[in-house]
Amino acid sequence: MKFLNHSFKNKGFTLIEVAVVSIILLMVIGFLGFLSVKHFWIYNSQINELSAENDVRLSLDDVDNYVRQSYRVASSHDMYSTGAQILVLQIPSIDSSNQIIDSTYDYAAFYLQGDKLIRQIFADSSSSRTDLTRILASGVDSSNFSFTYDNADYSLVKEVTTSITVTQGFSNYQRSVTVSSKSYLRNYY
Amino acid sequence: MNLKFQKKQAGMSIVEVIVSILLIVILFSLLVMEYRVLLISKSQKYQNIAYHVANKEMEDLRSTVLSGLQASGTISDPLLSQLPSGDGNYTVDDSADYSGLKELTVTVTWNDGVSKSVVLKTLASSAGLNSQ
Repeated sequence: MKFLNHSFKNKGFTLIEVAVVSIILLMVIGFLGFLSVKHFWIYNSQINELSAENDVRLSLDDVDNYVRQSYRVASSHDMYSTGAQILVLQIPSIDSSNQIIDSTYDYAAFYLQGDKLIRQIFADSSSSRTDLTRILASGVDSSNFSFTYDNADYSLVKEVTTSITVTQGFSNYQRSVTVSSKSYLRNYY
Repeated sequence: MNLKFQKKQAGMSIVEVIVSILLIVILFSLLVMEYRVLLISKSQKYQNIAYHVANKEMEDLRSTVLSGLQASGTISDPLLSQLPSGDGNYTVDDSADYSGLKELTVTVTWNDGVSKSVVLKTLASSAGLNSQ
């Protein structure tokens, strides 16, 4: 009872207690804040890094895949003309049993639309391929995107090199990936 | 904490200390784990670049006439500068298993703290792609 009385007499905290508690509180809040800021940064930059890398890999694989199937680099088809940022490929058409149809060709055009890399297929009516437009990558840096050829005359081109830079996200979270790839026209004959 | 015990029990109990240390350790290990993910994704990025460098060299080798292939050589590719101490070379050897065939080996190495490499191998004959 004596102790209880004493305790009630001494109600509230001393200045030192309040100071110590608030310092500890500030430290804990600071530490948690630091953790969440770091966590947020890692999360966002990694999402951007992975998505940029994925876009680069998918588009290079896709371009290589079509270049290898191709018969020629076409100088133009539809509204697209081959150049530093546009690639038009002439691909032997295939029928429903995957056999090449003689002297019949499908066309594939790779071009930039804004910051998107697009692959558009123009199929022959007898081909088993279908007209299809697909976005391969977004966030493509148009000043760092190019197709280079081993010959200035497109009908003699046997080798296509593709360079691409994809940038995703903004400010601190921005990540960009630059890779290039080379492939040969295996149906050039 | 009840004021009643304030005088009697100055300081913290052992359980309180252990719990708070445990909490801090858990929070820190979460951050460390995230940093490890960061490192892994970086090494994946390097691997992707190294693969493309090796693949480009392989495309070059495969489109060279077999008799014109050098026995070995180094790769010069601007992408190699993106890799920490990135380097690459290729060798052309007679295949141990198939006579008349050549074994092409392309190796790209880099060092991001640990030395790593991407190795691509293929067989080439005087017919097919290497005949042009």
